Amino acid sequence: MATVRIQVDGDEMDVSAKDSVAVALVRSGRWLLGRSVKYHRPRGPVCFRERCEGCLMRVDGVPNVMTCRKPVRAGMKVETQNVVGSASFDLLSITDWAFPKGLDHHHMWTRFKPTNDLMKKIARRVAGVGTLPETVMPPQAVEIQRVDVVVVGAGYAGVAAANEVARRGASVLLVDEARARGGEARLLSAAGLEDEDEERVRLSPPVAYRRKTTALGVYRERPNGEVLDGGIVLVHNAEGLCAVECDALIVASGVTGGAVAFPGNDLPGVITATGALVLLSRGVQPQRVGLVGDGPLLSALSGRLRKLGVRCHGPFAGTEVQAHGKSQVETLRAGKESHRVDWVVAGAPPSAAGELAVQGGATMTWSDDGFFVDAGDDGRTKSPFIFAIGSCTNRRGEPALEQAIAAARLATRSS
Amino acid sequence: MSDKTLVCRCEDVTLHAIEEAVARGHRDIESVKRYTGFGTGWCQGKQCSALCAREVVRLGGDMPTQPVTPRPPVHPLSLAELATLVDDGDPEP
Repeated sequence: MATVRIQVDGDEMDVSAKDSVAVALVRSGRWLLGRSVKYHRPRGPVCFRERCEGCLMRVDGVPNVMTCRKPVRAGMKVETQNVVGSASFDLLSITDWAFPKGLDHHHMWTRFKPTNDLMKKIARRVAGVGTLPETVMPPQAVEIQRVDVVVVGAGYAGVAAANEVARRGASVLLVDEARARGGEARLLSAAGLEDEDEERVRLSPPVAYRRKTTALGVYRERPNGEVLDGGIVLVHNAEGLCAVECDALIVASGVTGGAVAFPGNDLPGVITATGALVLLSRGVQPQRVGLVGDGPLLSALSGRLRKLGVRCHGPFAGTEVQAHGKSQVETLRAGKESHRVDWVVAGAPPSAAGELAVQGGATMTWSDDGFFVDAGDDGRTKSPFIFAIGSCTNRRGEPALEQAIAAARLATRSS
Repeated sequence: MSDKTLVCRCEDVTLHAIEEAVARGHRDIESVKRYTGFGTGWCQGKQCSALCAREVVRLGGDMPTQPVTPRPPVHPLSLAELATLVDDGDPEP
């Protein structure tokens, strides 16, 4: 196994060359990566897919790097940010101790203007995330592209839609933030829970596919104000920004689990079900796990953990438990019992990653304890420009694939 | 470290703060968001939106219809990169 030497808070560390910074730190036993903005509570990676704030660190002089997906590099300098002192002893955490019920900024020290002004001055200095980078970033040109259809999300539904668009002779760009296609199914198979269906991720040429590419926003007009029938999708990867003008956008962005409410739920080591799947797929295995909440991924995960010989406690409801620990989770208390744990996996009902669809003019609905993009069986939304398919519309399996094909057909009708 | 229950880690919003907001008459998630700040931090509600919606309902607030309005960028982006998008006609970067 190839290793590289990196520096973390001044100490040298040999890590696996294939790990991301956060995974390397967790593998070495360090979960505490930083402190929260207001109370300076210990924080660590939670989602392992760039959808939370837990893994932010300063890397090579650049603040707020999401270390969960930042590959390690020989000589890399990693530092804790947001502390006065160190990650394990941050003087500013006195705020957490001094305000056990929370600090009500609406009413605290608001009575007299001079004290209020002083408080605001202090808060501005102390709050926020990271400090400015050491060097100025060089300017990068924005790439401009034009395709008939953009598909965001290369899970089974997105791949099916992209293939159908190409089959019908239209040009299509498929993007996904992850390093491989397959979405949730790929994650489950990489963690050893199920076999991936390779057929479902095979691309029919000529689908243009960009991995590790995130869609940042959707615009219905050009920068000069000219309104478009279609739109512009702004995407981003390591090479920079690309503005893709298209006639239709198919959103297949899937779902996020989100947080579960219980005391101590923000302790480093309390992670989401997908976070646990990422760690397992990287070969990081705990000895003892506490399971909290519900959601389809949690039950699949607990089966796998038990098969691996991991001691599992739960699943417990969020209302039944409290997590305890000093700088990372140590015990999960459920009723009278206290269980020693390495991880607490908190599973929540899925909710759509539907921001792009809504920006483009679609709407969302609330059902099954989550938000989902309001789309028909044919993927149509309130906006003629936006189609939404798959789990972000609360459909899976065969219905999702049928929806994907139908959406691709409608998206290419005028092409 | 005290036993707080966090509903929004990015902005350090506790469950207690949500309870306070609803008690003060903020019954829908948009209003609770403006009062407490949940969903306005680094992850822009990815981890907390659905949870806060459920909590507001549990506390007697309104059933959610839409999530809080999402604004681009959907993922964090540096100002330096954002600055490259604007073509103000000046050839100097």
